[in-house]
Amino acid sequence: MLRYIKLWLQFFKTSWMADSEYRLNFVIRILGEFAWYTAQLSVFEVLYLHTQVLNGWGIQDVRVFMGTLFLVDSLYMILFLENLDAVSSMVRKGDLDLLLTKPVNSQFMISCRKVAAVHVVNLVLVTGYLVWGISNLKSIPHWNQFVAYGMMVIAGLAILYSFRLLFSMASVILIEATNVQFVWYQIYKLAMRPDVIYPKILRLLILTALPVGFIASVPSRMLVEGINFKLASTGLGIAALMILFTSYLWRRALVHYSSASS
Amino acid sequence: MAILTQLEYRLNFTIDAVIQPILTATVETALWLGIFSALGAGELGGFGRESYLAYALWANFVSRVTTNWMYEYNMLDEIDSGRVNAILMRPISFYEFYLSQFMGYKFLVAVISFVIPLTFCFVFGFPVQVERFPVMLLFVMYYLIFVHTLSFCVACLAFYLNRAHSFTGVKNLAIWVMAGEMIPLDLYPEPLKSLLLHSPFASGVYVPVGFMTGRVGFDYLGQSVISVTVGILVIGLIGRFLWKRGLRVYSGTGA
Repeated sequence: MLRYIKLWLQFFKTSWMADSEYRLNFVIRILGEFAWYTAQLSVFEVLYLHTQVLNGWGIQDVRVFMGTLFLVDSLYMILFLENLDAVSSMVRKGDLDLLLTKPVNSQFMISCRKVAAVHVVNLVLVTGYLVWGISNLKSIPHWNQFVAYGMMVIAGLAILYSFRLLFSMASVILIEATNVQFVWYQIYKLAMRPDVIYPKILRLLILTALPVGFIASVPSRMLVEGINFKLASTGLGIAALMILFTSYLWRRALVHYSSASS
Repeated sequence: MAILTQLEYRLNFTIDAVIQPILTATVETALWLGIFSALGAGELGGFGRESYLAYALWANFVSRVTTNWMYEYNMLDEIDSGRVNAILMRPISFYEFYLSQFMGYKFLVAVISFVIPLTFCFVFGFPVQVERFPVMLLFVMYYLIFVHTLSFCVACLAFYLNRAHSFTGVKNLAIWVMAGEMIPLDLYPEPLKSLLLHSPFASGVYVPVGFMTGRVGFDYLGQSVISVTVGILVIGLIGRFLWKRGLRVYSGTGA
């Protein structure tokens, strides 16, 4: 484990150096993320100009949800985004072969070799926004709600990672699956709104069969509505299952992998 | 030629023009259904549920047509890698060459993909003014000249910067908000609302979608044509300046 932590720190160092080489590009990427946050926030900020509550949730509750979504999203982007986005082209170009020869776990290599250091700045920004959102809640949450929240954020991140890896694995089997990746972005859209606004059937879907509701909705509910043990335990269970399942599938996918460069 | 080139990759084209917008429209429709059910009201900002569902449906298809990622990246790559040399030798300018490619592709995507929201509107009884479709299509094609001119400006930045790709993302995300894809512009508070409604960016989504769904009329469409024309002229001049100056600093790498 220590070996992997040391390796990841080395990845972080080299990624930071590479990212900061082109400073204007670095700043523009931060601005790009900022524009994305603004776009997402504008929907609810504008909607709440025309109403007080949406299914019992006021704007201050939704801000905590949005802050949580941005937090999980930033963590995902820092740790995994550039790696998993590149799987498809690595398979096509045959670059995956090189990673498979490394004396470390192949799933770790394809998931963590590049750290998007630029998003660390965004992480600081969104954390500030989240703290501001929480401080504006009707009542400041109890410390145990924060513990539950932290656990659910980690579970949400694990679920997001597993989903993304599942879609990336399609490339390992199909070789050309660039467009399959776009399907994921449509599913992810469902996670970008608080589950309380959805009709009952859709809410059930995103908390069971397609558990994207655990990415940001369930963690924020821990702070806004109080601890829900049933939801929390379900979220942790699903996260653990998905990590184990994707790990198993990754090993199976490698069995079917036919090197594109050979 | 651009149309034929695109039809060569049929699966890629189908996903881009049909499957993706259908998925997006389904998700957006679910979102607005949820919002209206959570609101418990039949109206928002003076418009009813069906009006918003129609807007959400059309907005996704129109914005897919009026956003430029692929050709902007291609233009950036051409300049960045030095492959632009080949185009400089042709009897057609870089701007015109890519304009024809872009318009050809987008025309095809528009004609094929707009059939889907039209069908949805008929089936579910959403408000739509079918007789306005040809005018809307023409207006969208005119707006694409503005989009291409903006992309040309971004591409010209590759003369001066080593990595200019990030500008495409920032520009498209900013337009995304200003065009009204996520939420109709008339819901924004003043003075932001007036500012956005008078900008050429409103013509990216709000104007054509509003025109089709009955939110705006011919008078507003006329005003939008003027603001797009002004946009083309202003951005065109900036692009011309960047291109001419860029060619002077260009070293012809890759030639």
